[in-house]
Amino acid sequence: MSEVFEKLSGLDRLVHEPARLAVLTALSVCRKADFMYLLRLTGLTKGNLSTHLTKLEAGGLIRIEKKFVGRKPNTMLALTRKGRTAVEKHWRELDELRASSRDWDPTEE
Amino acid sequence: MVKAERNAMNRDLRHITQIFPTFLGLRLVPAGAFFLIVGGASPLVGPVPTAAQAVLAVLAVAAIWWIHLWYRREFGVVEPARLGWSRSWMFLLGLGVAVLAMSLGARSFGGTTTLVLLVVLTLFATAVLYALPRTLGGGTMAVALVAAVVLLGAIVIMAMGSDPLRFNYLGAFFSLAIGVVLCAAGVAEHLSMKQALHGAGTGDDV
Repeated sequence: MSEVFEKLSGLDRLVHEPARLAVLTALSVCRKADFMYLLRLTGLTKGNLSTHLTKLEAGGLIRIEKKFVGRKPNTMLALTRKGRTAVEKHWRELDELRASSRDWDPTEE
Repeated sequence: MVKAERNAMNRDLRHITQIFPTFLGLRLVPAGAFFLIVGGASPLVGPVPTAAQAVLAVLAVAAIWWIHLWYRREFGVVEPARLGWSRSWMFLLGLGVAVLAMSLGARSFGGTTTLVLLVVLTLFATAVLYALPRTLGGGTMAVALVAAVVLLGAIVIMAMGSDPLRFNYLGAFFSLAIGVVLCAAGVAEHLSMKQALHGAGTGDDV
């Protein structure tokens, strides 16, 4: 079981945080999404979402494109190749952990 | 957040994001209102003149565009990862059947009108096919139901012949049916979207 805990502690925290994982998961099934959609989807405040997006961009997981639609600013977000790999790897690791924990018998420890 | 919750969240977020463009159902309502007005007016005050129908159609398109912009502003934008071919083809099939029904029904109006209607509808169908994934989400169920209603209408009109009086009443009935389906499906999809977005949030702060 210690191997499972090692795996658990080894999860990428940048990806594993719930709000960031939600953003990455949503972006993994589309080409692009804008700030407003992610705001609605995650239920975060603008400031919090913005902070998470900045962290993800700094980690090279997402690409942020800022432009104007008419007179209004519009922020589009897309996963980078690194981000796509990271989120797929993360969900795979979580699936493996779930499978491992199902077989775990605490009385054997 | 426990793993089971995370897995549910993963499924929800993926599902909502993938079908988000089809969720924006209020865009179907102006089209439904057009059919309701045209279909509802026929038995009451007689067939709606072509010019009035054209004005109504332009107003419906303008309303669809306004709702599209409102959705962008209020709910954001998702660019799908790939073209929704099955949905697009279903939409095209529905419009193809509509063209067939129109061509059968338009015998009452003469060849020139029929030809113009066919050209306009074909151009519209082509535009929708290419625009669908990014702009007009449409509702798959609504499109399927409309196609079924129009197909049924075409069969009934073919069976009953081109008697103008019968055609007007049947046309009105099917127009009303299409209007009801589009409006109901549009509102239902919009409410589903609001419910789905409400339930999907992580709610976690930094």
